[in-house]
Amino acid sequence: MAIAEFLLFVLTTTLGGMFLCGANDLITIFVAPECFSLCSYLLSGYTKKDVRSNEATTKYLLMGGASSSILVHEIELQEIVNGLINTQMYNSPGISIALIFITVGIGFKLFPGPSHQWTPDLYEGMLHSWFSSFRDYECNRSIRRQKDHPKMIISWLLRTNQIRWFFFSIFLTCSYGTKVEKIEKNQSFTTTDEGFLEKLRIIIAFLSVTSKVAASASATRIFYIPFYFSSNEWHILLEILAILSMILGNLIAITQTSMKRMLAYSSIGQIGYVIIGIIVGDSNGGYASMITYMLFYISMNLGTFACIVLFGGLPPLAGFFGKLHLFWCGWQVGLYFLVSIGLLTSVVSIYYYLKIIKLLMTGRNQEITPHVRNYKRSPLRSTNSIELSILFFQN
Amino acid sequence: MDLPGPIHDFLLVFLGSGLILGGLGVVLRINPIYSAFSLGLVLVCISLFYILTNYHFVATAKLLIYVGAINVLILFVVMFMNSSEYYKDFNPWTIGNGLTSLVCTSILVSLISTILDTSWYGIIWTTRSNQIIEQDLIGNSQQIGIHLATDFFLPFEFISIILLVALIGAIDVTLQ
Repeated sequence: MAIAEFLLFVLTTTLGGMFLCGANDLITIFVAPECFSLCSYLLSGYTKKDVRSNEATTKYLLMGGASSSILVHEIELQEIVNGLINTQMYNSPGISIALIFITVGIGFKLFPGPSHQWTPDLYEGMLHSWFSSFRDYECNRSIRRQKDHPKMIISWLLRTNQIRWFFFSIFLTCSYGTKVEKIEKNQSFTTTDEGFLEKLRIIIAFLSVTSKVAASASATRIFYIPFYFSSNEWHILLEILAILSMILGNLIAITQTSMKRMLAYSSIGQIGYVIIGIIVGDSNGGYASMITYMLFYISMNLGTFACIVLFGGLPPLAGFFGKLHLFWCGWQVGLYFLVSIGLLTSVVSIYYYLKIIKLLMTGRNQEITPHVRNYKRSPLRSTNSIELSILFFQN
Repeated sequence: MDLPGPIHDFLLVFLGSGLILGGLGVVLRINPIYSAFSLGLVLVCISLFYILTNYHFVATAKLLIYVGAINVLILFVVMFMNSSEYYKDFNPWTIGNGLTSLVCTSILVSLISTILDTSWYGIIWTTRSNQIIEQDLIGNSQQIGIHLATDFFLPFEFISIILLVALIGAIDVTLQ
């Protein structure tokens, strides 16, 4: 369980995501998610001693392997389709079969509606090891000194590194537009060996975000460029996926008792909103709205997973602008049904976010609340930078 | 360099029957080691099909990779299992089997109807006329090498990184 391999896997994951965003041909669109998924399996199974993380890894690996094989067949079909398009057979069933395959293949990586089974188990398994070490540390009050307290260190880590992670994720999403292939990731870790691995668990949460970003960036390119002639078909497919994921994610999240699974289901719902942005497409700024929503999603999720008890009031406020822009673009294009379902499910999502906040304020652990006050200062700073970036993008 | 007619037809029938027999053997045999060996037969027949379609490189590559690596891995895994347990409670027909056979039969029927409905001659002659004449003088393997070194160089090098990470990951996960 050395640190060197951990860092290698994280860096190679991001490399895979970058290549996916900057892919120009179908081979890279297959090879890059392969690299990304492989490193994600290795990262999620990193704590070998914890059985739950092993379970999560096995599920993730099996589903990932199956979807990679579907994607490979899709790539093969896509080449055939290119040949068919050369001979001007636009209406053959081969094109629709290729379309279905690639939607399933990409759909796994993004986890919208039907392929979401592995997500909550994965998050629960990965973060379980973090929480168990967290709890053990807290129970040994006698040997713990205040400045080594993990919560303080983690909140400090977030406050200093949050801006760097934010810019790094901006680069990740902008690599779709500008094709930046490689980037140096500068992070400084605190060097106490005891709590070192526990702090690195935050980066595992990074996985959940990067996979979404990379997969949605590739989905926009794939659905718009090769499948241009059959745009009606994939509009219908993506609409069904978006509706399913929004409804499923938000409704099931209400009934969850474990916070990690609730966050996993809420992230499934978020992907539904992102898919609306993909459907809207290039004409009315749909892609721009999708990118801005992804930025919100990134900062929200990074903050969430890393300080999971310090949720705060951040998501309904900052994410609101992103959702507004998304729904506005969707309404302009004419997807009335989709946007109305999105509005309904947003209301539902506010319900379970507020449930978390209520648990915070009237919660069992009274000593969390000073940290809430400490933490609320930094999300305000990040919302300012987010709004600046919105203005920048829209101009 | 196409194969002459009778050899072509004989190989087609021979490999096709071997494929069907192997497939049935994989699914219907009780002992998992026998079904793994039948899978080997299926993969060999699929690889040899590519000789009929004049792609010798792909045939050899499939033989090496599928039969030589993947099937061997499957056999390793199967040999770890205790196969004597399978004889006790063997129920040949469950509801899951029925559903799967229904789905597979529908896929088969749709594939056959699609293949019979498309006009393959039109596609083949259109794509053949698009190729440059020089490409026929270079062999298939050389063309693959040229494309790997020029057009697909970046994914090719990226795959080497994937292999490196897979090696390190395999050792890291299994190291005590």
